[in-house]
Formats: sequence, C-alpha cells, structure tokens
Amino acid sequence: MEIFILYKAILVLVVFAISLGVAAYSTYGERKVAAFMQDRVGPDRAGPFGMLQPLADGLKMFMKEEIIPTVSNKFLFVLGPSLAMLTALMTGVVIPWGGDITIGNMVFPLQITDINIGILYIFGVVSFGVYGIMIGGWASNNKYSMLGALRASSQMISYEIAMGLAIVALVMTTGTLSLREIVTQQSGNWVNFIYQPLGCLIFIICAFAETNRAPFDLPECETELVGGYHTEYSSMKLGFYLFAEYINMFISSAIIMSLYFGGYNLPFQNYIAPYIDGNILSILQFGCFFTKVLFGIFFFMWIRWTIPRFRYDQLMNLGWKVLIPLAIFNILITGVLMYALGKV
Amino acid sequence: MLLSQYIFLFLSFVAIISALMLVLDKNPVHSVLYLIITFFAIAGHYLLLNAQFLAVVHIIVYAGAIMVLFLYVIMMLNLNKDIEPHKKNIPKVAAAVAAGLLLLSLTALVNGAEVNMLPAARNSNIGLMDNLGKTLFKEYMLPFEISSILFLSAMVGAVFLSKKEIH
Amino acid sequence: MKELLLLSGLGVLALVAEIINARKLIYPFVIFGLLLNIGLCYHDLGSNESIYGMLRLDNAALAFTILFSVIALVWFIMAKNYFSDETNISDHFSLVLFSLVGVFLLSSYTHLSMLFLGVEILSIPVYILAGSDKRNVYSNEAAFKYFLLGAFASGFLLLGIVMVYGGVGSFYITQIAASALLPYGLSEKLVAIGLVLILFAFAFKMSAVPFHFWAPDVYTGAPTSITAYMSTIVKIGAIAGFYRLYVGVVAVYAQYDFFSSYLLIFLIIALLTIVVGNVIAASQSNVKRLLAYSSIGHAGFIILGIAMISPTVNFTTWYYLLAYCLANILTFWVLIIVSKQDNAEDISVFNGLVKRNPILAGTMTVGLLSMAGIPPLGGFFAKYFILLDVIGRGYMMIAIIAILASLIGVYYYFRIIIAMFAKNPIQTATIEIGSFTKLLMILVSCLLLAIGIAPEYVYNLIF
Repeated sequence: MEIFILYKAILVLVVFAISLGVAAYSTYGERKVAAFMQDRVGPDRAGPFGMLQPLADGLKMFMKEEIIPTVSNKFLFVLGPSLAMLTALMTGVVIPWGGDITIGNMVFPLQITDINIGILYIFGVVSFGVYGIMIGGWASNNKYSMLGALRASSQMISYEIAMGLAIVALVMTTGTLSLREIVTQQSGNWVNFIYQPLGCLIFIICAFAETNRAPFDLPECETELVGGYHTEYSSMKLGFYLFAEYINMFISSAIIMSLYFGGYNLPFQNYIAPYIDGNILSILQFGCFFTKVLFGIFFFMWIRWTIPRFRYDQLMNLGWKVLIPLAIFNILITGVLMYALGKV
Repeated sequence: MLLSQYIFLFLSFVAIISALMLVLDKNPVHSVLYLIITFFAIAGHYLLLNAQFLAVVHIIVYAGAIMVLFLYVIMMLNLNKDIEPHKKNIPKVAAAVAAGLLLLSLTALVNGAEVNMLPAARNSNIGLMDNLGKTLFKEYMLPFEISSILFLSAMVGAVFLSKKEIH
Repeated sequence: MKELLLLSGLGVLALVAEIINARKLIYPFVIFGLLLNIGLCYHDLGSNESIYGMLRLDNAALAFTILFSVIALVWFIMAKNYFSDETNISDHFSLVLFSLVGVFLLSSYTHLSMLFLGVEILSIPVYILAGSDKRNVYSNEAAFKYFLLGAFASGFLLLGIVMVYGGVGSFYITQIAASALLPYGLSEKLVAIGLVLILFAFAFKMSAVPFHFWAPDVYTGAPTSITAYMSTIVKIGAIAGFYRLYVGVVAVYAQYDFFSSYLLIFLIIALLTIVVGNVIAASQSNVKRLLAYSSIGHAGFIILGIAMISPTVNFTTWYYLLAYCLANILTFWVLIIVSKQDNAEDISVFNGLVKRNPILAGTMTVGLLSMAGIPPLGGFFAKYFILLDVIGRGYMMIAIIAILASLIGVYYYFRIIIAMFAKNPIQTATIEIGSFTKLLMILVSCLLLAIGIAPEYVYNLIF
C-alpha cells in the first residue's frame, strides 16, 4: 500500500514535470514553427539551435518587476493566474499515458487515476478553467482586460456545449466514460476517428476554442484589446497565464489523441505485442503516445500561423448555429446507425 | 468516527460558512466565488453518497456554466457598494427573524424524526452512471421527456424576452 | 397519452409555424386541437389509462382536462387581440400551450416528480407571459415579482417532496398513501413536514392568504389577457394539482396525529383567503385589481371545499372552478374591450355601459352575478355545494364566516353593475364589437346559466 501511494506521488510529480517541460518547450517550438512557416530562422542564439531559449525566457519572467495595479482587487488579481494554472494542470490526472508496468508481482499503471467518469471529470475541470481568465480580467480593473474576460467566458461556455455533444456521440459508440477503457477498446481495432469523423472534427474545433488558440484567440486579440485579459499582468503571473495556455494545448491534444486516435496504442500493436516484453511495450506505447501528442501540438501551431482570426460574431455564429446543430445531427446519425447495425 | 464522517463534517462546515459569507459579503463578485465554493462542498457530499455522476454534473452545470453567467452579469453591471441603494433595516430584521423561525421549526421537527426507509429506496449504487442511466431511461422515461418541454418553454421565453421588437 | 402528445405537439407546431412562415395557421390549429382534446378526453372517460406509471387519466384528471381545455378555448377566442402582434405570435402561442401541458400534468400526476415538473411547466411560461408587454414597466415588475416569489415557492415544493420521500421512501402517490396504512417503514414527522411545505407551495400558486402578496401586483401589471389566463387556467392547474395530492395522500393520513394540525392550518388558510380576498377587493377602484382580489376570495372557497373531502369533492371542486372560470373569463372579456376603448381600468369606465353597448353590459352582469353567487347562475350552486359540505361536516362557524365574506363580494360586484346601469357614461361613444364575439359572449353567458339551472346534468355528463 505504501509503495502504491509512493508510486502515485512520483507519477503525479512526473506528469507535473512533463506538462511544465512540454509547455516550456512549446514556446520554443511555436517560435520555430512560426519561423519555418514564415521562412525565417527563429530563435538560435541561446544554446545549439536556440535550445536554451525557454530557460532564458523563464529567467526573464522571474526577474521582471511584479506590478499589481493599485485600484485592482489584490486577492483576486493573484487568484486569477493561479486558478488558470491549477485547472490546466488538474486535467492530466485522468489521461492514460501508457499500458501497465509490472515489477515483480506489482502492477503499476501509467495513469494517475482511472475514475469511471474520466471524460466528465475533464469536462468539469475545463468548465472551471474559465474562472482563471474571468477573475483575472475583472480584478485588473481595466476595460481591455474586462472585455477580454467577457469574450473568453462567453466563448468557452458556448463551445463547451458543442464539445459535450460531440463527446456524447463518442460515448454512445464506446459505451464507457473511462478514458483508459476507451483507449483499450481501440487496440487492435479501428481508431475512434473512423467511427466518429464528424464528432472528432467538432471536438478539435472546440478544443481550439477552449484553449483560446488561434483562430479563436479573441480574448487576447492584440489588435483590438492590447493584451486581452492579461493586459495588466507582468512577471511570472503573466507567465502563468501563458504557461496555462500551453499546458492546456498539451493536455487537449493528449485528450484528442486518447479519444479519437488510439491513445497510447502502437500502430499494428496486435502483431508486435506477442514478441515484446510487457514493460518494454508500455514504454514504447508511452513513446508513441508522446509522439502523437507532439504532433497534436504541432497541429495547433500549424493552424495558428496559417489561418486568420475570426471576428467575434463569426465565432458565436459558428459555435451556436453551426457546431451545435452539427453535433446534434452527429448524435442522431450515430444513434440511427447503431440501431441499424444492431449495436444497441 | 469513520473517515467519511469527518469528511462529511468538514464539507458541511465549508458549505455553511461559505453560504453565510455569500450572503454577508458586500462585494458581489466575492459572493459569487463563495457560492462556487458552496457548490464544490455540495459536490463533495454527492461523492460521499456515491453519486459521482451527479457530483461532476453539478460542478459542470452550476460551477462551470451557471455561475459563469452570474459572474458575467455582475461584472457587466459593475455593482459596487456605493451604487447600491441603502435598504431599511426593518425588512432585513423581519426577513432574518422569519427565516430563523423557519430554520428553528424545521430543525426541531426533523431532529428526532426516525428515518426507516423502505428497502427499495436503499440501493446505494443508484448514483453510478449505468444504474442512473437505466433508471432514467426506463422508470423515469416520461419525466425525462417531459422536462424537454420545460426547457423548450424556458428557451422560447428567453428568446422572446430578449429579441428586438419590430416597429 | 394522446392528450399529452396533442397538447405538447400543438406547442411545438406553433414554433414550427414560425419557421415555415405559416403564422396564420396557428390560430385555427390551436382551436381545432383544443376541441379535439375535449373530444378525446370525453371519449376516454372511464378508461383509467396509466402513462408510464407516472400519470393516471382517471375521471377526475379527465374532468379537469376537459375543464381547462374548455376554458382555454374560450380564452383563446377572447384573447385574439393578444395574438395579433406578428413578431411574437408563435412565442405567445407556444408559451401558452406549453403551460397547458403543465396543467395537464398537474391534473393527472401519480408521481411526485411529475407534480414538480407540472408546476414548473405551468409556471415558467406564465412568468414570461406576465412580462410579455416588454415596454410596460409594470409588466416587467409583474414578471419579475412573480418569477422570484414563484421560484421561492418551488423551493418549498421541492423541499416538501424530499421530506415526504425521506419519510416514506417513494415518490408514487399510491405508495405514499399505502404506507400510511402499513405499520412500518414510515417516518411520520418527515411526512408531516413535507406535506405542510407542499401545502405552502400550493398556497402560493393558488394565491391563498397569507401567500397572496404577489397576486394583486402581478395581476395588475400583466397584460389583461394574461391576467385572465392566470386567474383561470393557472388556478385550475394549481387547484387540480393540490386536489390530487390532498385527496390521494393527505386524506389517507387522517388517522395520524399530525392530520388535525394540518387540517387546522389548511382551514385557517382557506378562511383567511375568503375573508381577506373579499374585504380588500371591496376597497379597490381599479377593476383589474378588484378582479384579482376577488379571484383570491374564490380560491379560498375552492380550497375550503377540498378540505371537506366529502364523497363528491371532485364534483364540487370541478363545478366551482367551471362556474368561476367561465364568469371570470366573461368579465375579463368585457374589461378588455371596454378598457381598450377608453384606455383606463377604473370602475368609472363602466359608467353607463348599457347605453354604449347593451350586450357587453349584459354579459358583464351575468358574469358578475355568477361570481357573486346569485341564483340561478352557476356561481350560486358552486358556493351552495361547498357550503353544504362545510355544514355537513359540522363547521357551522366557518360556513357563516364564508357566507358573510361572500356578501361583501356581492357589494363590490354590484358596484360595477350599478355603474353600468344607473350612472351616466363619461364617454358617450358606442363600443363596436364583432358579431362573432357577440355570439360567443351570449353563448358563454347561456352556458353559465345552463350549468346553474341543471347542475345534475353536468354531473351526469362527466362523472
């Protein structure tokens, strides 16, 4: 029992560290990708190929002067970025990072906890994530921050609905809410993307909106709102907001991969698995999953540097008048097909 | 005492204190945040009752959506103490006395009421997803469908009240 | 099941009509649908159909459904003006029709979750309808007041239902009633608290004193057609719902200790409602407000009748509601026409109405006389049956107080009648009404007279 708790504690720390590390290097990656798209070189001074750039950025964040506006509400001003960071990190708990590792007669699953309502848990945390932005934006006592916060909250609420409806269709086909079970169902089988292409598309679009990434980055739209909800923030509190965004991106691509693209399963896993030791397979799976997630992050950046930002009314129209009806239609089609194919 | 009883006491304490702060705090934004804490405490109670689905949905719907809208409106109105009209004390006292009396009589009545449920109502796994779904779509089919009329009428009403009149 | 599908289908149809640009078709469809509903209910009498175990279409339920369908039919014809606004026509129709579904649920539920859903489906559209005159600040006030207090009452209702569930372990009315007779498995205290809390919630919905404070403001602020709707259909819903609960559950607990105190609370509420409603109505000069208070007084009479649980309680309640609603609709009908012409709602607008339009004055008189309880109109026998029950149970004092209070009612109803016949009109222009309206007004007046002349025929028709 003690070993088990110790193991879980270590796993939590590892996931925490990986999330932060990936987030840190996503900033580097983003600049490199942007440079690539725009035919530039990108950061290349700090270390070989500019590899130490995130460290330099982090150091800069820490060293900057911390400014709290005098007329703002101090407690809420600090609470904002903290909540954003907290909710970003909490989602990683239910994601299955790989199969089991067996040492002696003890089994260590590469997942912090497998609760049987994993998807709903993610939803709960994501829906709570909007508070970090709203509270921060309001507490800044700045009109631009406020507008950014209002945009962010209405955007996230609107897209949560379509996201939830897209997932309903997936849950109908898989019959479970546990992420681990959804991933295991996809091993030696078609990935869920084949069964739920429309749902997957809607989910990905909504994931972009939920993470406030381009083309849905209106809450921090610099041409209109200066810096959006984090206009008044400086130093590491700003860093928290930026980090939270990259962690969210990491986690959402992990969720997209788990739900729709086979999660940690290797391609042709059924043919390979008999020849490999279970532990090595788990490590391979982890590697495979990580590669998929990194591709997901790349995809996020790819979109950001190629597609222009929406106008706000277009964003709302897309959310309410296109995605939600489409998601309902998807549920309907899924239901009809499942009934017709006798899968009910 | 069992661990769950300690948790119960803790959650109840949090829920009641934050509910009180919700009423007493002068800043409406703080009040909303206290209400969110109350919701979390209540979600904890649901978890103690083995109703995971209800707990999570409670968080998603109330803390995640409805309270965001509350916060939205409060931020837009920018309510401050200065703008708020000064209310007379007599209605406050009267309301407090009335509510206190209600509390007193309800606690007095519930206190010592023997609870001996029918066996059918004692299924402790009803809060789990599959059981809940089966109950909802078999026994409670009609209320489930009928509630769609309720929501439809509320939606029609919201659209009706907010749409522009053509003149 | 057919009735439920028909009513909710009509509501959805009204919404679809907006999309396919067929707004003109809603009105005839609704009228036809309500007629069909009456026919279906009449056909189903005695079938005792159970819908998923949650609703039971016993004769009382069907009788109440026929009642509210008839009243809704008359109301729709009366409120034709309310539906003339092109932009909101389908919203208005669908909200009203959805609230009718709520009334249907309330008159046929056998499961407490349906009771709650019924109350909510009835109330939420009406909150909105009360505020449907969006530019009028009083209408907004009415909607807001009604909504806040209504939500509060719903809270009491839910708390009460939970307590009853905690005490009995079931939501089914039959099981709750059955466990009253079992020696075990019942927590009497919890059931008692629950039933009292539910009583309070219903008292609010029926606008019974001392839960009536919202009623005058809401009734005055809302558009007059909606006031008529609230004082008839919404009242039918609340009373039908309460009737089912009282006869199905509370009365079964008569042997328990708490029942006597429950009955005491109930009788006090009923008496206060009759007395306060009539006394305050006597001092009103705004006719809409006067009718609001008088409707409070009538609600008191009905719940007094329910409290007696005589063998024919279903008929007396039903009959009182029928007579009251028909008369009420008639008076509101005339009020709408007259107040629209003169743009005022004081009693003085009725001055010399007989010279301006004798038909309006005549129907108004029939309605008022019926509400005042003058034989041979329906209102007289409605009061008579209930008082007979009260005296039969030996509550002599209560009967005397109720009679005295309704004598006050006669006073203020006659104020309007005197204004119509004895005073000189302030404005002399005659009021024109369509011949169809005229015909229907006379028809409803005759109906009111007919049910008064032959109540036993009505009884045989339905029960």
